[in-house]
This record gives sequence, structure tokens and C-alpha cells, in this order.
Amino acid sequence: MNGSSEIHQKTETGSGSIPNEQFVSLLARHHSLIRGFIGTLLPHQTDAEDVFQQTCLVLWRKWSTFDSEQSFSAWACGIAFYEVKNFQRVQSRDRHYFSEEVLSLIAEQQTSSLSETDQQKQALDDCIKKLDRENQQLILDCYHGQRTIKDVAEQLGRSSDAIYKKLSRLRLRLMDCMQQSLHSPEAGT
Amino acid sequence: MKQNDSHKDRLIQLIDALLQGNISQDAHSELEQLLKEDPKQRQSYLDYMRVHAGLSVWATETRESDDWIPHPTHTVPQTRLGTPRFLLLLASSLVAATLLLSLAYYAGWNTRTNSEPFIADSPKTASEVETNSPKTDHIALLTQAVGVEWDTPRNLQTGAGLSAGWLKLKKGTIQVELISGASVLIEGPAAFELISPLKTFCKYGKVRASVPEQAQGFTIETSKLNVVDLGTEFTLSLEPSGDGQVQVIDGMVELHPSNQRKTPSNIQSLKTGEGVQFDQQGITNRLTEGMLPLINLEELSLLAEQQQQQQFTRWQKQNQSLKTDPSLIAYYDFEETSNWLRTLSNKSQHNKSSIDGAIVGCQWTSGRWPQKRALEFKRTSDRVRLHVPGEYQSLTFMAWVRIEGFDRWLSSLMLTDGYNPGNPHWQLSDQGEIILGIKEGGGKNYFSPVVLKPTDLGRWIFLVTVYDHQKKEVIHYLDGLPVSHHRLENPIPLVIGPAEIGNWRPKEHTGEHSIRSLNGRLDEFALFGRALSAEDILKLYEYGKPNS
Repeated sequence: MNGSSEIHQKTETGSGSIPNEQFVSLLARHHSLIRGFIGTLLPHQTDAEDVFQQTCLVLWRKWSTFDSEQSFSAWACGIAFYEVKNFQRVQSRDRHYFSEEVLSLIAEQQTSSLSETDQQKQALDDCIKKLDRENQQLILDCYHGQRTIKDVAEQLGRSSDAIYKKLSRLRLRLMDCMQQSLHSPEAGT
Repeated sequence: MKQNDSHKDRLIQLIDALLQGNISQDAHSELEQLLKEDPKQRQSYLDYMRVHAGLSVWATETRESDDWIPHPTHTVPQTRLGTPRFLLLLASSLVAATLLLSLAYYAGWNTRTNSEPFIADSPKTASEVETNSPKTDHIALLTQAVGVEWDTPRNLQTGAGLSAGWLKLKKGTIQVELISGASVLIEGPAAFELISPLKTFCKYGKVRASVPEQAQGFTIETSKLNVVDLGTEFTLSLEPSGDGQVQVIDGMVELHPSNQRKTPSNIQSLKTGEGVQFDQQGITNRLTEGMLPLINLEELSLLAEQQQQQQFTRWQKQNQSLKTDPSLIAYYDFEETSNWLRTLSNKSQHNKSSIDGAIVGCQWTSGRWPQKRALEFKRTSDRVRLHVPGEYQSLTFMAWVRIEGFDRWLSSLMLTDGYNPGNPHWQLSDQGEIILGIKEGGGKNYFSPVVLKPTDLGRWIFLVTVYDHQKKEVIHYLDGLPVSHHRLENPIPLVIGPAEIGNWRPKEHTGEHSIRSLNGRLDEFALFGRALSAEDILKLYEYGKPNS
């Protein structure tokens, strides 16, 4: 993660053991955390999804190097971070990506609070439940990734721009809701 | 975090544009600046993006559960447990891949485990299975190759590891050592298949097999009969028509018919000096006269020496003319006269500012040919330090190198100290990619595809990378041929300054990958201040390659 390391770890080759139950259960328990971590570094859903899948493979390959004394989430996010950088290195043509410096800063800032992420997920799920059915459906349609925003907009008879604005407002609302439910008025610092 | 709402509004605006995919370059820079400078802004970004990412997860999980149980009226075993579908797919495909790998492994070795050369199923089905894991399944080593013209696209060289598969020669002689301990000399024209460490198949060609005790049972199959070695040495000579002969030089062999069930009556034993002739009908006759003598190892070694001398002379000619190339910035041919010298002199005749290298740690050793000298890079401290002044629009990096192993993710060819604007980093990844990294603003790495295979470890390879300012491209070459082209968006002048061959001295870098030492040998290294053409590079390879 050092800023001057211009190349980062890529997938390790060679495979160890058959994925065991422990690995599958740890990954199942932490998958939304890891996916969320990647999502904060790669804003585009499809990118994040690809990198997440790749990360899962790498985690399995490196499973033999995992020390059970260690925190699985920290270990997994460390690897996910390299996969994000790896992905950006390969892509970096048509989209804007953050520089490595910024990427490292964002990753660092959240790895310090990884343990809180479970509560955050719970809080977010609760907040989504508070939304009305129509808004929930909109999020489902827009975030599931099978249809573009344009498709969704057309179906609803609205402009894409209006949908984007609506999503932005929903995100802000959910963010506020989460902060209230986490009882941490200063969560922002 | 509410004290600064206008900032936050701007931040959210920028993030929304980013999510929407229509952010402008300026806005993106502004966002980066905000995130870089202010931890509070960064936290707001995180809070907002966690919602964004969390919504993706939520949507996927919610939808996934819809898909997962297509008929809720039926009782479906509750296997979901919140596990996304791909996780289960991942687990099952990994198990499948592992099983296939182990199948391939056992199929290849089955003659050893049951010592029944007859019932061996063809391992082909298993070995044809595609797996993503790199194959390190060498069952043999190519230890000599003299006057060889291969009948396959891949040009194998002495030292190469060999997996199960065909060896086809138009002419020449090779020596192959199998990991069982058996060794065979094959004289072309020949088509010879390595099946397992104890089993081979000969379609045609002349073969001389030496089999130590450890490899008893070593078998050469043919379409008519199988030769099973119980002793030490025999020869087999086989015409493409199927006619052939077997003779025991020393020890004992058994001949088994290849397409019938083995019964004691149709197995023939041959002792020292005995031999048989056979034809495509499977009729065998005792040899009454000694067969044509096949080449032996001493003769082969002698021929190999002569060949090496010729090739070395050919390289020396090229070396003479290369020294006079005016575009040569630094040229090390490693032909220093003494083992005590710790200076690697720049042999470029035109470059007045002499860029000599300082040898640190490396040991002198032999190069592509016994007569050629090379430096060995083994320890993490081994390196050659140099200082290259000036700025270059285009550069060509060239090296003859023998990689012994990829000890770590990155192996240095030539890297500048630190990584400052315009600095090139020329290196290899443990995957077998050639990488040219250029520090421009951020840092851009031009990766070749995976071109180095496990079979390339231990053989001399020719690596060239061209940074072409005019054509706006980076090209990687392996053994004289281009392996990848990369577009250069904005070519910038390259500066080298203090640099190292075979190692890296990072500045203020203590993180991962700070050790990038090379494990291998170098016996020629050049830096040209121009972009060499594809023809130039092919010519350099043709004159420098270790085997004809």
C-alpha cells in the first residue's frame, strides 16, 4: 500500500487445498463487507462486481497463507485492495479512476473501522425497510445491474436525469438514517 | 459533519457525477483534491459510497433470493444461508478443477503405481483438460541438443523442462533425461512422445536408452511392440513404415506385443548383444548381425562442443559490429578478462561518457556457451550499478538472460533508483509477463501477456522492450519476435540516472515488493537510445541464440 509501490500484487498462481468449509463460511459471512469495501473504491457497479469475483478466487488461492489468528476481513480487504489497483491498471482507458494515492487514503480510512461494518450493514438494511415500496423497487431496479438507468427511466416514463437525482436523494436519506441509528452524531469524523 | 454543508453538497455533486459516469476531467481532479486533502471530506465520501455499495449488495441479495427459489410452493432444502449463488459455483468449480488435476496426475504415473505397462489407459483425455493453473508438470529435461531442426513450432533449447508430449525432430540429436532416472538419446528424423517418467512412445527415429536401476521397467512403446527395460542400455531404431530393430547393449530387455494380451508365451527376453528385427506385420526375427551403431553420449558431447564453438564465433562477429552502433548508450557483453574485475565496462565505442557498471556481489560464471562469460545474480544484494545521464525520446532495452526461478512477484531487469518522472522500470512478473513501467504523473505499466512458461526457466532467453516515441508505442519481444504492442498516449522523454541491473534500490520504499532481485544469469545487456526495428531485433536474436 505504500505510495511508491508502482505495481501491486496480482493473482497468485498455484492452488493449494480444496476450499474447505471454514473458508466458504468465512467468505459467506464477510462477502458483503468485502463487496462493500470494493464498492467504495470502484464506483461503477459492474467494475466492483468483476473485481469482487476475482478477489474471491484470489482469496481461495491464498487461503493457505491465511493465519487464523488474523482478522479475516482485514486480510480479505488487503487482498481486495490489490485487486482493485490491478483492475485499474488494466482498465484506465475510458473511465476516470482515482490515483493510487487517493485510493490508498480511502482504503486506509475504512480499514480502521472494518469491525463496525456489520452494524452498518444491519443499519442500512433497516433503513431500506423504512422506505416505501416504490422507492425500494426503484433501488432494486437500478442497483441490480441487469438494466441500465436509461431502461428503468423509460419504463417509469421519467428522464434518466430525474432517476439519477432521485437515487442521489435516496442515498443521502439512507446515509442520514444510518448515522442516526448508529447513535453516532460525529460519525463523520 | 453537518457544519460544512456547502462543501458536502459540492462533494455529493461530484460523487454523483462520478457514479453517473459523466464526470469531467476537471471535476474529477477537483474530487481527487478534496479527498486527498481533507479527511472529513474523505469520511463523507466513505459514508456516501458505503450506502451506494451497500445498495448493490442489498439489491443483489434480494434479487438473488428471488431467483434462488423458483417455486416457493415446493419444499426446497434451505441451502441458501445468504450465500450468493456464485459462491457455491466457485466452490463446486474449484473442487472439479482439483479433481481433474489429480486425475491427470495419476493417469500420467499409472505405469509406476501398478507396474503394468499394458493396461495403461491413454492419459490424453485427462491431459487435454484445460486448467488455469500453470503447468509445472515436467517429467523430463532436455539436456543436450546438437544440430537440431525441430519439427514443431516451439524451438526447445538445452536446459528446458519437458512436460508430457511430443518431441519431433527433422534432424539432429537430443538427449532427454526423465525424472525417473532413465535417459534417452534421440536421433532425428524422429517422433517421440513422452507419456510419463517411465513410459514413452516412439513413432519413428533412432533411440538409445540408458536405464539405471531406479528406473527399471522404463518402457518405449511402438505401434507393434513395447520394449521394457530390465537392465541398463538398449537401442531402438524405427522407420516411419513400422520396420525396426531393437538391440541390447548391456543388461536385459523384454519385448511385449503392444496390441495383445500379455501371456508368458509372447514375451521375448533379450540379453546383452542380442537383438531382433521386426516389421509392420509384427513378425520378429533374431538379428544375426549387429545393427548400425547409434551415436553415443561421448560423441554427442564432442559434437555439442564443436557446435557451441561455431555459435560462439558467430556471436563474436555480431558483438564486434554491435559495439560500433552509434545509438548504443550502454553495452555490456560481460566478456571481462578476469574474475577479479568488479567493473563491467561499457563496450559502446561511440559513447564517450563511459557508462561503466559497478558489480556488487554477483559471481562470474559461464554464459550461453561454455566459452562465454556471464554474471550470476543470486542473492538479494547482487546487482550491477550504473549511471546513465541524459534524456531519451526513445529507448530499446535488450538482454540475454537465464532465469532460474521467479522468487517473488517482481524480478528486476533494469530499474532506476526510486521512481521519479520519466523513469523506466524494466522487469518481469512471477507470472511470466514482461513489464515496462514508466513514471509519468502516476505510473503506467505496459504488461506483455504471460509469455514465459515454466519451461523457460533455466534456458537462455532474449528479451527486448522498445519504447518508441515516434510510433507512440511500447513493444515487448521474446526471442526476437514481438509478443505485445501497447499504445503510448503521451510519450514523454525518459531519464535514467542512477539505476541497477538485476536489482532495485528503492527510495523511501519499505513496503511490499521492495525486494525485486533477479534470480538468474545475464550475459549480454544493451541500452539503445533509439527504437530498434523488428528486423534489427530478429537479427540480433538469430546471431545470438545459443543453439543453431
